[in-house]
Amino acid sequence: MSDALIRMQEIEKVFLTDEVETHALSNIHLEVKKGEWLSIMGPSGSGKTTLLAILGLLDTATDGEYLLDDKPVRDLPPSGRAHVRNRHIGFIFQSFNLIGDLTVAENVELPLTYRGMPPAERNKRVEEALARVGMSHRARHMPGQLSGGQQQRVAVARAVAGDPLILLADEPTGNLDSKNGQTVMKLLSELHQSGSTLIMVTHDPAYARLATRTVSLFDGRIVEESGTSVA
Amino acid sequence: MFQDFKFALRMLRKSPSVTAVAVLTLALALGATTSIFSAVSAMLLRPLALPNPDRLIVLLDEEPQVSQQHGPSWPEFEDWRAQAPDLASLAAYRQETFNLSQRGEPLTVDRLLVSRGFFEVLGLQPLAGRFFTPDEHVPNAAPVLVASEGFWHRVLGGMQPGGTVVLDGIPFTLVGVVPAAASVLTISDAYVTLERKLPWTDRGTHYLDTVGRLKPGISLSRAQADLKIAAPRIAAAAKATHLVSLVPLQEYLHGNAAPLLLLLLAAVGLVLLIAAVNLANVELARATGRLREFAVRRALGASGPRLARQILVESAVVALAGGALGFLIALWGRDLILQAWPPSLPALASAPLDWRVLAFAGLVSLGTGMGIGLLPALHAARGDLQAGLKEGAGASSRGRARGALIVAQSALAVLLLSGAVLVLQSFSLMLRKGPGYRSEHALSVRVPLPPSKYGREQRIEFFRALLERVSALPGVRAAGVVSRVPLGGGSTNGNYSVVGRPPQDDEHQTYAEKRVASQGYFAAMQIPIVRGRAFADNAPAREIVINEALARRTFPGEDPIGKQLAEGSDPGHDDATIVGIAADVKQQRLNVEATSEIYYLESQKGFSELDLVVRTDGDPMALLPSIKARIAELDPSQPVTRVRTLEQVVERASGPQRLLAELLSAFAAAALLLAALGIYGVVAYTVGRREREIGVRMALGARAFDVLRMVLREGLQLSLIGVACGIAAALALAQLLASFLYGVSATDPLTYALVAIALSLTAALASLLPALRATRVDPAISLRAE
Repeated sequence: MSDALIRMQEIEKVFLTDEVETHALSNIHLEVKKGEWLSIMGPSGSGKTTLLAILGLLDTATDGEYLLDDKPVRDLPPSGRAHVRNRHIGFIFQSFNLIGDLTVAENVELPLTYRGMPPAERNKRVEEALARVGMSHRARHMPGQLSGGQQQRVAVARAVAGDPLILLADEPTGNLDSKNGQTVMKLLSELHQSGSTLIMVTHDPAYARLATRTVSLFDGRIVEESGTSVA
Repeated sequence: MFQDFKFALRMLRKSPSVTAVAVLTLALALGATTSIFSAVSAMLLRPLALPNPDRLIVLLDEEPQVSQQHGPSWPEFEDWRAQAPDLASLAAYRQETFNLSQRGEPLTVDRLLVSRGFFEVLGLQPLAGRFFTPDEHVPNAAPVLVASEGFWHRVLGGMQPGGTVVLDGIPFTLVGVVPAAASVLTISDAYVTLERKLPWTDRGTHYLDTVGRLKPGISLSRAQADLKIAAPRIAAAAKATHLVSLVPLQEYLHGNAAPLLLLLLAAVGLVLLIAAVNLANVELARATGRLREFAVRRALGASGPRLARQILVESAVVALAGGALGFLIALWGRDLILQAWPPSLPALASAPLDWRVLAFAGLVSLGTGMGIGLLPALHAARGDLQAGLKEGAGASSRGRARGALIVAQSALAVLLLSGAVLVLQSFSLMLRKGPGYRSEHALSVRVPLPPSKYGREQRIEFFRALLERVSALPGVRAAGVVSRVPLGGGSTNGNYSVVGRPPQDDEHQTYAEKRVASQGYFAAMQIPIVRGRAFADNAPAREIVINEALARRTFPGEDPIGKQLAEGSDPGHDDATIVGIAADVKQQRLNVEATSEIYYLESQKGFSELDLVVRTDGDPMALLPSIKARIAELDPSQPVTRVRTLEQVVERASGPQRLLAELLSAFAAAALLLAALGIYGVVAYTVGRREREIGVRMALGARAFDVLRMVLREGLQLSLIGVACGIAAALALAQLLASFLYGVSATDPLTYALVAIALSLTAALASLLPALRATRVDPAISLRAE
C-alpha cells in the first residue's frame, strides 16, 4: 500500500469539438500525500481547472490511471463518483457557488443531506463547521445578505463539514479583495495545520507559496515542480 | 405608442416560434370562448325579433305545494286576463296537429290555436289579408285560418286570402298570412281561433300557454311585484289554490338553455384563463431574460410605467392577433355548436357573429392580453435598477411569480377537470341506468286522428284495428299505443285522490303524470309489471296501472292492488281500480327520477292522438313502410308524424347531458394539456436557469436520483398546492353543478381524489423530462462556466 492519498499516472484529457482535438492534459503524473498542501499554478488555458475537475471526479480522464486513497476511481459509474465526491472530497469554488435559496446553515448541511446523515448529527456538524470559519452568527442568513469574503468562508465550512479526505480549492480568492483573500487563505492555512489535505489552483504566487508544494502547468503538461513533499 | 407597437412587433419577430405558439394557443382558446358566447348571445342576449320584445311576458300557473310551474287551464287564463294587474293584453295558445290530405300524400300540419288578441300582443301585422276578427273568436265560429309565411309559400303556393284549405276534413277559409317572426313562440304552420273549441271548464288540466304585453311605463319588476300581491286574491276569488307568476317571454322561451350555456361559457372561460396563465409564464420568462435591457432603459431615463406600457403593448399585440384568428375559428366552432345543439332544448336556429360577439371577442382578447402582460409589466416597472444591471439578478422573485402562476393554473385545471369528471360519471350512470324501458328494436309513430272525422267510438275502433294489423306483421313482437312516449316530450299531469280516504286539503294534494295506454303497451315498451297485472283485454270496469313511485308515495306499507283512485281531489270522479304496478320509467328527462304516474286504459278514454309503439325483431325502421301501409288500409288520408326509434327518443332526451359531457371533456382535456405544458415550461425553464446550482449539488455529492427527486418534488409541490386550492374552489362551487348531475354527488370524494391523482400524475410527467435533463447536467461543464 502506498502512502499517497492521490496517485495519477499518465493522465490524458482530450476534448473533441467538431473535428478539432484539443489536448487539455498530457502525461500527468502526480502524487499527493495525506496532509500535503499542493498548489497548482499556470497561465489561463494551461489545464489547471481541468486537472482539478479530474481530481475532484467532476470530469474523467481520457486515459491514464487515477487512484484515490489507493482505489481506482477513473471508471466509476456516475453514482459511484457522486458517492466519492460526497464522502471524500470538499470543493471550494472561485465564485463560492452557494445556493441562493438556502440559508447559510442549509448550504453547509447540503452535502451531509446527500450522505443520508441523521438530522441531529448534521446539525452538530454544521454548527462545528460554521464555528470553525467564524460564521455561526450568520447561520440563518441567506447568501445574498453576506459579503464575498463571508460567502467564501461559508463555502469553506460546507467543504469541511463532511470531513473529507481532501479539499479542492479553485482560485478561492479570485473573486475577493485582498483583505478578504488573506482571511480565506489564513483559514485554509489553519485547516492545513490541523491535518487537512489541500489542492489549490491559484494565479497568485504569494498564495502559492503558502502551500508545501507547487506544480506548474503549461499547455496541459507539468513543467515545474517545487517545494517538499511531506510524508 | 406607435414606437411601442413597432418595437413590440420587432420583439415578437425575434422569437417567431414562441410568438406563433402563443398566438395559436390564444386563438384556440378565444375561438372556443367566442363560439360558446355566440350561442349565449343568440339565446339569451339578442332580443326576440318582435316589436318591443322587452315588454312581452308569460303568466304561469304556480303550484306552491309541488314547486311546479306550467301553463294554465282556460278558466285560469280567463281569471288572469280579467284580473292580473299591469297587463295591456294577454293571449293564450295551444299547439295541435291537423291532417292535410288535399294535396298529394297526407301531411301533418302543426297548428296553433290562438285566443283573441294573440297577434296584437305580439305586435305583428299581416303579410297578406288580415288576422282574426272578434266574431271569429267565439265558440262554433266559422272555420278560418291564418297561414304562417313558410307554410303559405311552401304548401299553399301563395294562395290568395279567401281560398279554402281542408284540414282534418274541415274547409278552413284562409284569411291572412303572418310573418315568420310569430314562430319565435313555437314553430307552427297555421293559426286557428282557440275559442271555436270552447267551452273548456276543467280547471285542473293545464294545456295552454300564455303571452302578454305589459302596459306602457310599467317595469317588469313592478309587474312581478304587483302580481305577487294580486295572485292570492285571484286564486281566492276562484276558490282555487294555484297562484300565478310572471316571467319575461325571452326567459320563458330560452331560459331552459341558460344554465347549460352559462356553465359551458364558464368552462371555456377557465380554459382561456389557463391558456392566459401559460402565456403569462412565457412572458415572465421572456421578461426575466430582458432584465438587463429594462435596467438599461431605466438608466437612460425610462419611467416604470413607460416600461410597463411597452410590455403590455407586446402582450396586447399577441392577444389581438390570437383574437383575430380566434374569431375565424369561432365561425367554425359556432357551426359545430349549432349542429350539436340538442333538439330537446329551446331551438338555436342561428348564432350570428354580430356586433355583440365581435365586441365580446375584442374585449376578451384585449383583457387577456393585459392579463398576460400584467406580471411582467409590474416586474419591469418595479425592478431594482442596480440589481438589474448585475448578471443573473432578480431571478428569485420572478421564480415565485412563476410558481404562483403554476399554482393558479393547476387550481383552474382541477376546477374544470372535477366538473368534467362529475358530469361524465353522471352521464355514464344515466345511460347505464337507462330510461326504464328497452329502447333497442322499437319504433314510435304518432297517429293524430282528426276529431272532426272520428268520434270517440270510431277512434277506439281505429286504434284497435290498427294494433291488430300491426301486431300481425312479420317481424313485430308487440305493439301498443300511448298518449305520449316517455321522454318523447310533453307532459300531462293532474291531481288524484284515494277512494276511501278523507279528502285532501290544499297542502296535501297529490299529483301524478297521467298517461293513456293500450293493453299491449307495457309489452311493446318492455316495461316490467312488478306486481298485479297489465290491463285486461276489453276490461269491463275502469282499471288503472300505477308506477312504483306512486305506490311508494301513496301506499307505503300497503298493497295498492285493488285500491281505487279518483281523478281530482274529490273521490267520485272517474274512480278506477288499481290492477297492477309498473316499473318506474323516466318521464321528462333522463337525469330526473320518475315521479308518480297513472296509466289509464286507452279503450276507456278514446284519445284522438296517440303514439303507436312497435317492438320488432330487427331494424325497426325497416318496418315503417309496412306500418304506414296498415294505417293507409284503415284510412288512406291519415298521415303519421314523429316517426322515431325509441333509441332516438332516448338520445334526444339525453342531448343536453351529452353536449355538456362532450364539451366539458374536451375543455378538461385542453385544460390538462395546457397545465402539463405550463408545468413543463416552468420546470424546464427553472432547470435551465439552475444548471450551475445543479452542478454544485452534484459536486457536493448529489446523485442523479437526488437531482431527479429534487426537480420532480419542486414541480409537484407547486401543482399539489394548486390541486388543493382547486379542490377547495370546486367544493365551494359544487352546488352550481348539482342540477346537471344524476346519481353522483357534486362533492363526491372519489371524484376529487381521482382528479387530484390525475393532475399530480400529469404534473409528475410534465416535470419528468426537465428533471431527466437536470440529471444529465455535467458539473464539470456547468462549473467551468465560471
